[in-house]
Amino acid sequence: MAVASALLVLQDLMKRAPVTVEAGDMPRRNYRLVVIAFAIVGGYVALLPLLGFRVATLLFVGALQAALGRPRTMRQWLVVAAIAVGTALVSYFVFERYLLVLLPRGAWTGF
Amino acid sequence: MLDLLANGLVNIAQWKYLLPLFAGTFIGVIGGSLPGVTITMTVIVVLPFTYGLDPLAGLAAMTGVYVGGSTGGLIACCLLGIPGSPASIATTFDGFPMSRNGEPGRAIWLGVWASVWGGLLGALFLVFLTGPLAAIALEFGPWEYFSLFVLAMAMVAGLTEASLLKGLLSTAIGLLITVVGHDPIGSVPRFTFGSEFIGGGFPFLPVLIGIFAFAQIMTDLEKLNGPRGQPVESLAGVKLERFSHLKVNLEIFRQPFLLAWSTIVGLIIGILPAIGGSASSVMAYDQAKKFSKTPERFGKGHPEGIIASEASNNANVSGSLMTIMAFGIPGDAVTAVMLGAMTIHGIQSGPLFISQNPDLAYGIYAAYILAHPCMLLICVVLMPLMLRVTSVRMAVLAPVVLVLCVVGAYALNNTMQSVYVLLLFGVVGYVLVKLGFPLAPLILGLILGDQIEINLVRAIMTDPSPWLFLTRPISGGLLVAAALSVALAIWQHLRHQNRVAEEEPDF
Repeated sequence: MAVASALLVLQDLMKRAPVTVEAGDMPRRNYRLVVIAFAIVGGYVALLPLLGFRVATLLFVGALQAALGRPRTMRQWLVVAAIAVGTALVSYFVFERYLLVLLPRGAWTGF
Repeated sequence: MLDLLANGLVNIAQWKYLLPLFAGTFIGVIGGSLPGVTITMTVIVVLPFTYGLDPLAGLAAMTGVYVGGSTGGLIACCLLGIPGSPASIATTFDGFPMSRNGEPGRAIWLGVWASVWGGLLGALFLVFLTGPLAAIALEFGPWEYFSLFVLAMAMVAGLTEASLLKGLLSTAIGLLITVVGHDPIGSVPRFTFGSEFIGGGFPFLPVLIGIFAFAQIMTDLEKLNGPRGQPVESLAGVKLERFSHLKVNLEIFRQPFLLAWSTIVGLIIGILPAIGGSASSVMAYDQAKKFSKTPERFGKGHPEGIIASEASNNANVSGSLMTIMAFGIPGDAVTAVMLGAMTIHGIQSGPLFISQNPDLAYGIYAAYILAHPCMLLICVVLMPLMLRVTSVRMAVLAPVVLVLCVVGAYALNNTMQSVYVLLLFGVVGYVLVKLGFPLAPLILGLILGDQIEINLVRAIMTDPSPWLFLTRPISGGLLVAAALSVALAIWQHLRHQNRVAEEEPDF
């Protein structure tokens, strides 16, 4: 089966090579944002075992929201903060306390 | 059978199960109605919550999400003109024009009621046909299973709208992912590069979450903050007009044939593996247009279009449930997540599922049936708020959904490894989407990979002659059908290309 898949890959590559005509730029998409989002998620996953679920989630939700739609007024910043704190706390309580699903502890914080 | 179903209904009616079912349906309606959040994503979000529940409660919640999501999608269709979830694409064609003509209430409730009736009609088939189907599946030996899986993959690869090669390749990638790790029978490590990390293979759910939730969100983010190229004028601040539920229902039942046919189309597409709700809604819409006495009114707010699309996408749910319960093959990504959840609780799916776990099987039927009144209730209560709900910004939604994805992967076995796998396949999935690979065949390859291998090895261990795959009648027939479906796909592709008058076909 592995051989078959490898063959198919080869076959496809050989047949596709000459016909790679990209359809120009269509509506411009925001790739910078995607890269930033990937980086933030990567950071979250890396920090999760170090900082623990609660702290890391708080930072992650806040950071990603801020990156996706930059808050301008004080009120918008408060909303972002409230959602970050809310997500971290509510998910922690529902999972650990109520559903007994364990979440990562922080190696640095022990929290 | 009916007494078993009655038992199931009584069983589900306990708070322990009713609450998850209701909550699931609620989340499903909301998730379905949010543009950019698919039903699969909603089920994935609910997944970590089900780890801590008992199996039936978890499955009831997921069934609720599935039913609620299939309906919720129509709300965004009618109010915003964008499908809330892919499964309601065709509802937009007529739902939005009808709302613009000043009848948003009629559009929405036609859709909701059509969903209810389509879903309940589908339930009839689900309850009465699943058993016989499973009985057929019981006759299957490893040869037949192998051929059935080959047929499933050939069909899905052929049905994708992208090129056939990309479909096949996508299936192959899915299979390749399952090959990693120890092989299921001889326990020989493969493609592990001597690493402990991938020695156990890639766990199924994190891969699924990565590809279907993570990669999906990333593609949604692309459109964020960019030039606002949405020409659709939304009906912000609109109030639903007065209308009577009775009249809407009469309107649906005046055309019993339309309702029945849409339901059957949805059901069949649901039974076929990995095609999913969007195809069923579009196909039923097409059929309705073909059979209609007034085809010229389609696209201008014709009630028939809404009824066809919504009835079929809910019937599609029952079809998918049928496949998963009779054969143990998930009909689409949502049921794949359900299958994953069952495996976590140690429940074997497959043709023996119904006879071995009648409580669970009839519990799922009951949950499916009860999800419809729940959904109706939720729609009635929530509808005034829905316009605000559907305009929640992606910037707020994305982080929360991603956190739940990560929890879903982590809590699977309390290791960070699953989370790394999730991240890896999020990236892989995103790249594949960008390269134009269809994801449905990939997920099917991923789901069937282990099964296909086990059955192949078993068949060969029982009898080394490879000709048995062709000479056993059912198996042979399935393989021929597989070959035919690929041939058909190639033929259609060639014809299409000739029509488009491109230079020369690339294969």
